[in-house]
Amino acid sequence: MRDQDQIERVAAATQPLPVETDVSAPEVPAAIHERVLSTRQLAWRRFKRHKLAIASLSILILLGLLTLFIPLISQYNFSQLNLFRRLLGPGSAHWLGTDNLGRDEFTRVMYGGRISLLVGLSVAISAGVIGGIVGGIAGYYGGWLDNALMRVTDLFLAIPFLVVLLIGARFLDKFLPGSSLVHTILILSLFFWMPDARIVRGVFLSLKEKEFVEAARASGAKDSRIIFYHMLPNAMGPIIVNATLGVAAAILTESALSFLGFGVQPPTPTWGNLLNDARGFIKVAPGLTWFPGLAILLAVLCVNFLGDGLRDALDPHQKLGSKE
Amino acid sequence: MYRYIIRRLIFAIPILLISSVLVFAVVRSTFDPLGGAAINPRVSKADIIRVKHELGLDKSPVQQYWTWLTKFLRGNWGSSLLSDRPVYPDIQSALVNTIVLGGIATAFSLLVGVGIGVYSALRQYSWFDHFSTSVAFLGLSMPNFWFALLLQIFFGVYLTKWLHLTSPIFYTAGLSQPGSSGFNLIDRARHLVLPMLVLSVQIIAVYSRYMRASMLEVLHSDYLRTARAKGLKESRVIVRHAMRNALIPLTTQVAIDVGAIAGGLIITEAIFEYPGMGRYFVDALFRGDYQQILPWMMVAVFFVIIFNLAADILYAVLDPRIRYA
Amino acid sequence: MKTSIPFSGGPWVLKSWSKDQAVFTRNDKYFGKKALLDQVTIVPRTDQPTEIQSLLSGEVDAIYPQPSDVSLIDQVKGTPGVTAKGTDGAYFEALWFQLESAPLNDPKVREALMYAIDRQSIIDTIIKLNNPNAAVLNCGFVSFPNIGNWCKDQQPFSQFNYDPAKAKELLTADGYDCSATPCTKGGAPLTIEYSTVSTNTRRTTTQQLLQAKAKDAGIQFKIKNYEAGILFGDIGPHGKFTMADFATGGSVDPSITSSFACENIPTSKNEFAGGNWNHWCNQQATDLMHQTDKELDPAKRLQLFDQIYQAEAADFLSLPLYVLPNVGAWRADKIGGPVDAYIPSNLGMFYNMNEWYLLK
Repeated sequence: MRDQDQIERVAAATQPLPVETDVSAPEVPAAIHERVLSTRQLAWRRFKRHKLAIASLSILILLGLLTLFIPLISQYNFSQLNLFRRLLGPGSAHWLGTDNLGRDEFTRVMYGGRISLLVGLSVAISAGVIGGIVGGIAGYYGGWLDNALMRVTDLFLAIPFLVVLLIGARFLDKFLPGSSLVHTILILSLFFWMPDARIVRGVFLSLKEKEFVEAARASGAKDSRIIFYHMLPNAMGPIIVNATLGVAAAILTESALSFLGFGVQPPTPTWGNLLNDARGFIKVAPGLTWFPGLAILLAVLCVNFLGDGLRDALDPHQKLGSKE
Repeated sequence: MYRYIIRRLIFAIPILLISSVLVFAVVRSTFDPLGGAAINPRVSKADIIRVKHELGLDKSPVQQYWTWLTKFLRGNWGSSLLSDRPVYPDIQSALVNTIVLGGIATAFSLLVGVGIGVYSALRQYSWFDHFSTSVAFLGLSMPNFWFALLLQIFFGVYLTKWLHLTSPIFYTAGLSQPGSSGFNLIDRARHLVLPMLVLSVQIIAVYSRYMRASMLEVLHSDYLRTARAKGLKESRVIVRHAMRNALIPLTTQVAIDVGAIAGGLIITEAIFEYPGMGRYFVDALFRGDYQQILPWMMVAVFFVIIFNLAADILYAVLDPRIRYA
Repeated sequence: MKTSIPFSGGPWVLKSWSKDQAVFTRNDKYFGKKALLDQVTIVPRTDQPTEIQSLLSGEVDAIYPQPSDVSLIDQVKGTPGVTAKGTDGAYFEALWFQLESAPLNDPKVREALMYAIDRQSIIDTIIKLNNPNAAVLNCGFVSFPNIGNWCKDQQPFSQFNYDPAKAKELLTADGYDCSATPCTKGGAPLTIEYSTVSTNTRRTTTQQLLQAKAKDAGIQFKIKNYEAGILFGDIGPHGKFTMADFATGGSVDPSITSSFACENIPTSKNEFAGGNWNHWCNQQATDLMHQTDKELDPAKRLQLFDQIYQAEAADFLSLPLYVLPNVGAWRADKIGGPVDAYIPSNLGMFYNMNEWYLLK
């Protein structure tokens, strides 16, 4: 079973996209390089060639800094009302205008970005951890445990994704006290770990038979030491690449959830609920629809390009697309 | 081969059963089955006791599940407590509508995606290849609900205004023109175009990348070199040998995707008021309608499992390299 | 299932009906004035922005949506030939308190809360967008200023105007420390959970407005919203809310016993049946309610109700907000006749569509 389950591809980018085996790359020079350059240097060198990824990384860093330091940059608070300055267009006092309660749209989009990026990062990291554990156990121990865990993974992949998120959001809301932000992160993490699990399992399966692992085992190393010290570092490349794509997918999914009214609750803005609130004003104040939408598009696009660059750099046997 | 298929088929039965238990447990504990009755503050104690008994809610959880499952399997899906509408015919018509929309979108995306993918692979690193790669990334990163809103306002409001039309070129809501009866192909098509476009953007992006990758792999393979060495015509090599093999992984992917359609078009259908499964679910969810959510979930999960099974079998049939014990 | 009703005593016959549309045709055997249009189709639109776009694009000719936080009049502006109108309706929108849940089980907190809610701002910012004549609702539960005499002479909630200083004073007198925001008692901040329908932007916008305003009165609102079905089917009847914003319908000659009498508090004993979601039990008021149900003389009924309304305000039962506006919009370049005549009425805009006709 492949990973692309949702036709409504909110999560499309989470799945490792079809990759091509790098058949054209000559193998000998790489071996020569390795003698003089460490793996890390080599990766950095490959990454640097990927201009789009570098540009994307810069934009993302800039965006991240903006959202982090927005209280210093903007004189407004994201929930501060001004009922006399409602639905203003972009201008010098309010760069992106104001919303229907006179709140500064720039501040809200940036603050919303902070939440959206936070959700994206947390989900990707926690999904990586869950996926790493599941995939690691399955790949290392193999046998019936591997079979059982992979069946569970298949099951999770099989369920209609957004539906389960919606029901799950309701379920958590009922049984677990806590903020909607924490709930959203939790519920997304619960449905984002499957690609990580498969990747880690694949890497572990191939590493298990390698000489250095067998040598470690023969010298009496404990399982946990072999897993964390010898094997996991070798799986880090693919995990990081996949986590990056996970960030993009999580941002898109979170905004879709919030758009339907099930994600992070107001007055905390996220790009999704900003868009939902803006729907009625699409004619009166079109900026309220354009800015959060463009912000999502830009952020997700940059993360995807970054992931593509990282794949070239960290996982040179697989590469997506034609960028060299 | 046959043993493999039969084994997979038998294996699907416990998976379906386990899924039904899970669906029942989650939906039953999340939603109040009597929510539809309690929504009316004037409902009496006697009424609630009667409805509880009718739905078997006064029994143990295991008995409740069993009662529900046997009724469900016999096609007795009950009625909504809110609207008193029987659930079965509604889900049936919603499913048909969704399959029409999802099917057309998939077919369209497949056509375009395969075309782009093959051409990009044949002209690797050409400007077309670079361009289609960039567009694919854009499509993957597009928040589809936002795209839907923009299409809706553009075709619904601005284009009709600029061109002084009395009705939009492509309709922004519903399935057919209000008041029309019977089937009208042109009218239906004008309603389907916008939701189809929204769905297709991402599918095309994924399929074209997928096709390009598997096509490249095939193009570099030994047997293609052999085919060329035999002196076959290039067009024949590409179509008969390369494309046919490159399509195998995509075929199984499409089978899986089609299975997800039944429960997967939520946002698009909600925005375009398309009377399919997605909108049915969102409406039921907003109303907390237990009686509608439960069978809906079961149908959606059922579809996914069946089509995943189909994908596995299809893969085994299509790819002669795979041999199963 | 029956999908058509071949007979009718009114101007229309239901020709066909499905989940997606209801088709009415003229009843040629109607004894009164016959309908001018041959056929009318009613289609459901659950999503309000889409509903409005359907009108603007020409897919439908008239809409009768729930009012939003957006002005329908502004939205149809710029599309020539489309007209919108908004008036008072007949639904009573209020902030409902669940009197047994903390901290609203303390009458002093409720009293302070009455002064922490800026009702005038809601009217000016949100409600007037769709009903230019909207005003703060001060009638007793559940009566209307323009329906009957029930809210003519006294408006028991008119004393509660937004006054953050007074709210803080009341809280301080109740043992709260209001030197910082929000006020605290024994170290615990004064937080009130505030729920409404998550998909209703008029209510969620109101919520954010009130949240910001109540902060100045030392009260923190914690927003916890639900989908309509969950709020009304689970949270409300089971008393799992603290403060909630929703509307309830009224009648020309009210009986409020089912909604406010002691015996109608939903509990596990009565299977959570009963409409007293406020859990208000004022024995005196309940006795008065029972009397109103037996009293036929309108003047005496009015007197009894006045006493109940006084008790509601004295107990800080809940806070009325506004009369829910009714809004409608239609293509005036296409439809003629008294299209807007029934917009203010509970019968709905389409009640008199037998008098509408097509302009050519």
